[in-house]
Amino acid sequence: MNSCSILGMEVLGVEVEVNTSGNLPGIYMVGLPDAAVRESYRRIKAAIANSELPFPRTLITVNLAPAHLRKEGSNFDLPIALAMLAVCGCLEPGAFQGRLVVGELALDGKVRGIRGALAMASWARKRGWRELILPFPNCNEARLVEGIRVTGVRDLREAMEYMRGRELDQPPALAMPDREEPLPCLSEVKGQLHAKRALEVAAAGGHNLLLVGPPGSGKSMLAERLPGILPPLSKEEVLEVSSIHSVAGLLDPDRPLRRTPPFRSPHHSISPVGLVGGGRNAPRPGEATLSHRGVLFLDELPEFRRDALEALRQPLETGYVNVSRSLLTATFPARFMLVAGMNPCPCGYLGDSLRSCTCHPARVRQYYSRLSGPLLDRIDLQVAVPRLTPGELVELPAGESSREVRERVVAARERQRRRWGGDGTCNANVDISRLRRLCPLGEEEKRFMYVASERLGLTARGFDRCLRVARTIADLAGRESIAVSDLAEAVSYRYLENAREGSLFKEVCRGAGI
Amino acid sequence: MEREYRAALACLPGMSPLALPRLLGLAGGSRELWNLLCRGGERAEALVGVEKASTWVESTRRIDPASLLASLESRGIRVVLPGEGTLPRALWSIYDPPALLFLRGAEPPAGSPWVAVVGSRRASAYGRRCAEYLGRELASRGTVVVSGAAHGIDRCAHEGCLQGGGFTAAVLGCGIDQVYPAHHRDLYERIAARGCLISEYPPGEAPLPWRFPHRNRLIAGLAQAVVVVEASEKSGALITAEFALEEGREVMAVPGPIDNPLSRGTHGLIQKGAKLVSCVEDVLEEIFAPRLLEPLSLPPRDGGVSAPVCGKVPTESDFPSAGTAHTPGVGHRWGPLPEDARAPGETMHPLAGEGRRVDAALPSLANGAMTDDEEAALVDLLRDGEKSLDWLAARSGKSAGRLLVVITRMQLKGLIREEAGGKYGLAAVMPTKINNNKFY
Repeated sequence: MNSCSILGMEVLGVEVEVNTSGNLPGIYMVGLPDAAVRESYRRIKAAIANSELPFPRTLITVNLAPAHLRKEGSNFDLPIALAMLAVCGCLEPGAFQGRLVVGELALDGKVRGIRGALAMASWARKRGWRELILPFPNCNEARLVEGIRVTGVRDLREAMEYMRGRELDQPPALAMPDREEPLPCLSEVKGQLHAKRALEVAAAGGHNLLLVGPPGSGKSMLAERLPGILPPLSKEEVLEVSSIHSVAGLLDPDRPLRRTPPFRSPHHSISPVGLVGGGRNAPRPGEATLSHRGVLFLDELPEFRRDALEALRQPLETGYVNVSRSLLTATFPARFMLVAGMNPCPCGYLGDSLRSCTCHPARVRQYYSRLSGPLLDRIDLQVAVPRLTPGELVELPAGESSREVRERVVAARERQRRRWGGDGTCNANVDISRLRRLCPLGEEEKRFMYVASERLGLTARGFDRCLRVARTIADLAGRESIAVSDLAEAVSYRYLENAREGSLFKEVCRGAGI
Repeated sequence: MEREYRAALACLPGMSPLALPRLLGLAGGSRELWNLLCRGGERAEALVGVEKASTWVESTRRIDPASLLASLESRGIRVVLPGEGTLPRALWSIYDPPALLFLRGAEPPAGSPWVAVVGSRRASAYGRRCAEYLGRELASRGTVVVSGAAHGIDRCAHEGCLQGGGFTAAVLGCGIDQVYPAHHRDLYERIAARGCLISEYPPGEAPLPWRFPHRNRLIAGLAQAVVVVEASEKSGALITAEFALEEGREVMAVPGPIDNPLSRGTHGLIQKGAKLVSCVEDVLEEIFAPRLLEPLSLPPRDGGVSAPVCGKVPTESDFPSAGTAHTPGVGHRWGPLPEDARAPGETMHPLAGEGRRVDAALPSLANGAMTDDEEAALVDLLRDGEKSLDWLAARSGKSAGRLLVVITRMQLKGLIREEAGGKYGLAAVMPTKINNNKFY
């Protein structure tokens, strides 16, 4: 009897062996089972009894091979139960040929859903299995994998009868959704042109974004609308994203496929493991991986644990997470856009037109110093999101819809694809020397940057970030080379630049009256 | 030897600068006081109390006055005794003058008028703009700007003065080698390079709260006029104004919006008779009034110098290149470098700027050649205060991207600056002088 389970993002194939010997009734479960696997005996016993099927009245030894790897979860309930039924003579051992079985049992014999069905299906197909038998709720997602027969079973008796040769009626296979789910539209946010433009640039170039604004200014609203202006995911990306969410058990069983990029917004109390993934024995994907090919929104950035933010540096740099534990090492994909939100000061109202700030300037400084430089280095765009006055809320126009903005974004991404090649490289993550080589600045542009770096105190790093952003702005405008106006706009997205450089601290200090 | 002994006495642990002159008077001189404290005993106890007498007996053994002075000087700290140096003489005749001052930085220019610009630490954008404007304009008229190197108004006054190429003095409420607030280190260094730091506290003294009101009496004492920019009712700037009144200095105040709590102090001063400052000439009139009858020794101000970006159509060569000094009078594309706007050492007749103050405050605005229509429109929109990008976009009908381009360009020219909370405001105030003749 063959089954499998999820280990990190990988699928682990497990052979289930059941042996009976004529001693007193009892069970030994071997092969490093965890608590959930050891308990499965109780579930299986009840499920078989309640399905009015025979249970072997002998000493049973269940072996989960390979024996040296830890097994976790309840995936093995169904295969062990079926193997026991085979021992009792209800099933022919030949019925197991070429079939992979996973599923958790309820006490009444029903088969419960599991996580990671999509990943298991694609693993099974790669390994040449003929068929995957799994819980009915998971069969929609597993069907997305072509080239393997997928059968969903509702309860233990049905599973047994199916193995004996009875046909089951299965739901039709899901097609790739062509229509997109309705997403919140950008036109619902009034005003905030600076931030909206920054969202557009971020989406077009894959840049990370920091929104600084008082509570209630619409930082979360803006961030939630970013997936709606990102290009829709390709077919491969949809499967990749769905597979990750399937492993995490987050997939909607009825609509496993989504063409919109994922959007995750963890609370700031999240642990480093929760953010980048991990776990003692079997690493689970973290929020960074769940937002793969989508948006990770960290509201109240300075409130996040420092070690959690530090852990984000690897995925931001490389696009994946390596989790090393004593027993195994797992690699999770994690190429996401980071959108961070923060208040301009601890009380939140620095520079607000409606309420005055009550923070001591030194506390404001301390607040900004909690942000780690290396993390902020990876955030190309920093904009302020002011709170609108009631008058402005009434007066200001709604602005463009997400659809209009996305058309420009898609066109800009297409230009980048042609320039950098189609491997997902965009202006935000292309090697800077390559960017410099392929997009040289003209004389006028060089002069502008010279003056800008002198006047505004641009650092070498800030200079490179401006270059990347300017490249994206030029792509949005459909320009082949970077113009002075692109650079000028790029320079304006550096709200915190001086705050981080420490010595000058200009903009923020001026705001705090320091 | 007077200098050594005074410095050594000031450096005694727990010696109050306010008590030192009294002790000197009682003992009959610094050397006598020092020897008295060295010996200890009943006379010392009678003079300074039992506790201090015993600690100071200890301290006097450890301190060698001559080597102390040498070590101070090796650290760039000078000791200024009453009447010495180029500090305003008036300082030494205030009610409780310091027995000595520690000074770091350059020697102040002799004979220049000193003006204090003080105000709230938590200033509004408007206040900071005004302080910077006053600092810059006073500096460009050859005035020494004195303030307290604190957050907010103080910092902006110093910064403005440095921008204007002037001499600025910071009076500290802590030891001369201490930096408070700590992140003003860069400001301290720039002041020490092109101005001076002054303190009556020996090196190492911490910035304790009660030292600041005492420090304020020195600011008032040094200055011929005290301009309060923004002050709440309990602001330390009002203490400075109080001292200034007692010492017979001019007290002036910059008005603010009546609904801002930071205007309460300044408006209160104005109601009590302080002069309302609406432009730098209002200050200059008061400090230079006695000299107005004297013949003018300096040529009137040349427009090209004060407004270096006038007239010229920008060309490629207008960009500043590294290493070459910027010539006054020649405009360049991204606006003037404030430090280079005036040749060093050049002084102006104090009132020569009359009638040209707009040019002086905002060089590129007076003349349309440098600002194109887009920029001029933006300046008009920003005239009555800071505005958000949304507001600007709604009023100007431009896209956010385009506005950001224009704003950056104007930031580089020094016309606009980004304020906290995503607002943009004019970088300099454009004050309007009240023309009293018009009221009839």
